[in-house]
Amino acid sequence: MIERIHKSEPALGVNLVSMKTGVKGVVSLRASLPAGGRFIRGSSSTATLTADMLEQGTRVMSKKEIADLLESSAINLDIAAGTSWVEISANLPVQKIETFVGVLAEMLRAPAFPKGELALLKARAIASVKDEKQHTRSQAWKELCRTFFAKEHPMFAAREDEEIEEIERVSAETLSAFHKKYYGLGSFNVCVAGDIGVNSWHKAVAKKFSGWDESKAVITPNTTSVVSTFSSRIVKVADKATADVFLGHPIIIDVRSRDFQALKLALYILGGDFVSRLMQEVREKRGLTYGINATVAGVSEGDSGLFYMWATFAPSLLEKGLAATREVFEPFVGGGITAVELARAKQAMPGNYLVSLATSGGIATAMLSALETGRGLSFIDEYPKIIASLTLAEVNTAIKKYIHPEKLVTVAAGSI
Amino acid sequence: MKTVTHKAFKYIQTVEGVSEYLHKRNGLRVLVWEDHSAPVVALNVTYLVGSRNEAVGHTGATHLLEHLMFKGSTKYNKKTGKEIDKIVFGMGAVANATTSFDRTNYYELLPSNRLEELMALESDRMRGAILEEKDRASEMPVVRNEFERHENMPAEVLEKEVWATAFREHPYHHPTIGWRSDVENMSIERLRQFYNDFYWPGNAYVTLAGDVETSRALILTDKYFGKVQSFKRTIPVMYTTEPPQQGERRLTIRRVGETPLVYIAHKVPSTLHADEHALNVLAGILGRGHTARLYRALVDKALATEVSVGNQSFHDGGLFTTLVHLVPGVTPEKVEKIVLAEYIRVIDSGVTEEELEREKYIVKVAKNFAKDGPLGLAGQLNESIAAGDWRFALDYAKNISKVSQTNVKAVAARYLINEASTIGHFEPKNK
Repeated sequence: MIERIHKSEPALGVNLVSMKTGVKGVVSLRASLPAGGRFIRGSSSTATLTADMLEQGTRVMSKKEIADLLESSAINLDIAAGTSWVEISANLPVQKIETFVGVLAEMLRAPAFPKGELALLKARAIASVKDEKQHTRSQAWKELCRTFFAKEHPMFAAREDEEIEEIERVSAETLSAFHKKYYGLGSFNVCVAGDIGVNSWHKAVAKKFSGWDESKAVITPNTTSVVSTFSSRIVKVADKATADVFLGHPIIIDVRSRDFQALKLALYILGGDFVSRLMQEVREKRGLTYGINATVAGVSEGDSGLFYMWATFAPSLLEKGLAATREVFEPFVGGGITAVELARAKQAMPGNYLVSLATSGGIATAMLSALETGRGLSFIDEYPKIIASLTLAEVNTAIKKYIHPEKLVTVAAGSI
Repeated sequence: MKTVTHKAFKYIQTVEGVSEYLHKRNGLRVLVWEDHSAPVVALNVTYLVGSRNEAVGHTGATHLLEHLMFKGSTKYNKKTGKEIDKIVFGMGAVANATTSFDRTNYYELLPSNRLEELMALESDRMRGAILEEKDRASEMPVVRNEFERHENMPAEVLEKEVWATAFREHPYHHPTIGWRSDVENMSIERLRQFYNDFYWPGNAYVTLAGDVETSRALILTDKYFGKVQSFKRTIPVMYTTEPPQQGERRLTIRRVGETPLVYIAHKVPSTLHADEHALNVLAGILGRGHTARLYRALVDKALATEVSVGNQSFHDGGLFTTLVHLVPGVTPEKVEKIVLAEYIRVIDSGVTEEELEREKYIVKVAKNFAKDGPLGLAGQLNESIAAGDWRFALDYAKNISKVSQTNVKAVAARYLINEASTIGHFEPKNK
């Protein structure tokens, strides 16, 4: 696939990557720049609201004008701040490239942060935070994050009341200052796939983004974590038919290493698909849950993240569900995976990867991921070969090295 | 382009690159769409059975049966060493099954060089499913947990109650997942009967989309599905109709929560009705994106965090719905008045040409995106089959382009009337 990918730098600090696919008349774009929540200590709301305010008006366009232009052009645009990156996702007709790049540049480069719109956005943001109090999955996940990470860590999750206070404190000046410092060129990755002409994208991006200030964002990995003083915790949420449960512990692993791919393969066998050990035992044999899985999160930038298993159990089946999960987990750590399971994963994971590249959006997402993680675009072709080359010893060594049952903390949220 | 033929099939027609064939022996219908831009293919088997074919006592049968269809079939089971999940997921396919009011479907997106294996598998479970009590017993709590997950979400609970109130006689009254006590107590005999009533090649479509030559698609379909026995009985007909609604219906749900919700629903006709496209344009103008009328009236004024509008039509009719997630402190009554006032504004003054043209252009572009990868088009064909005509999805943009301002105003006046409405509120209560 790499030979079909075109790479250029239309402006200093912009990586433009493109690939023509079979689809006619439309393009999918995935882009990002480092301006996420990690850049303001303990105040992810600043990054979130800054990204959300981009569509609320610029120096020359009102909110209404932006929405009218995008929607009358059938451009579907979404911009959202994560922990490290502001992720931009768009689908658009090929005839509207210049319109799209023009309005995107306007939104990214010259937001006006109008105070009236900020007040409305804050009211909606506070309502959404309040609503999260009722979401069992969100409650369990946030409690697990609070257990292991201090306030300065990107994965820290504030309590809702603190989050609301934080949103209330945010001003247009705060957002403007954050924008001025972190929005800019340097690590601005733009990936497009679909019915594209390389030159038209190159020209449009060069025209609209040349001369933009340089971002001051430097991602410094945070590898800290806290030793938990408890092994399980319940978060009460009333009137819920099922509970959400996370079992997890902190993990540090380089996503560019073979160790990472070995661990991902191991977790695929533990809880990566329908025939994983957890799904087969806890769902298929014992009928205790609709779904259970295992994975890692939050490690892409070199930070300490989480290894976790997640499931839902009816409150009356919670104890049985947790016992069954541990009965699967312990022999997995103790004995590793088998040669037969390794062979299965070597078939399934590349196949799954191939079908994820069946759409322009899937290809653009894969290209952006390769750039964000620093793996490089060649990773898109190398991934199936890496999986094929992993040995049983590598996989089982990765389990021993990175998964530690004694550190596991269980958090359940629901009417328990 | 020359039409591909095969002696086992009758060629029916080709629309927008999708060709339809009928298997002469067992009545199976086949749709093929070629797209060789990536080495993947989608296989989708649609059965014309859904919760519209259920009644009290066995609600949720279609869905529970869908789960049991993964437990094994004549050739694919633990004893033969060829288990369905292990084969499907072992090749890395994106695969699942879904159940709705009017249909059940089993789909896989897979590397195209593995297609034959899954054609063999899907054809085997069409008439060879092994339905055993021990599997029902272990799967029932799994489905119950799925039910409980839905119950956790106030918006889903409210939606279920509104449909159950709006439809009193027609089976759209029942949620597809079923009522809890039916799910818990339904017997394996009832599920076997359900399977034997509806799982026949003459009641199914096989759709192949993506990296497959039409000639090969027909050879493989005949080789595997062609052997499946044809009807031994008549498919039971669902004859219950919903009588005209003669007055507004209301309901309120109160439970612990944070966000009040308002769900406003009006009866609409079936998907294939002539008013379908104008109703969809109306839904777009009221609820699509940040320029939509209700977004501006509610979200832009910080009365709501989210508003979604949909013309949810199905084989036998449906509901035109608006769901609003309120900002805490805003009353449902206030929001309900605003939504209904916007409806009245369309009924009285219609929509602008700019609004109409925007909707038409968005649909035209979406048509191109539907052919970005095999699964998107296969999914649209699946829903069109359920509605009663697979060509619906392919003709959709063309029919939308014919909608006029007069049409939109007329359907608003015809359907958004008080007598045909059902309005639900979710009111959070203290712990």
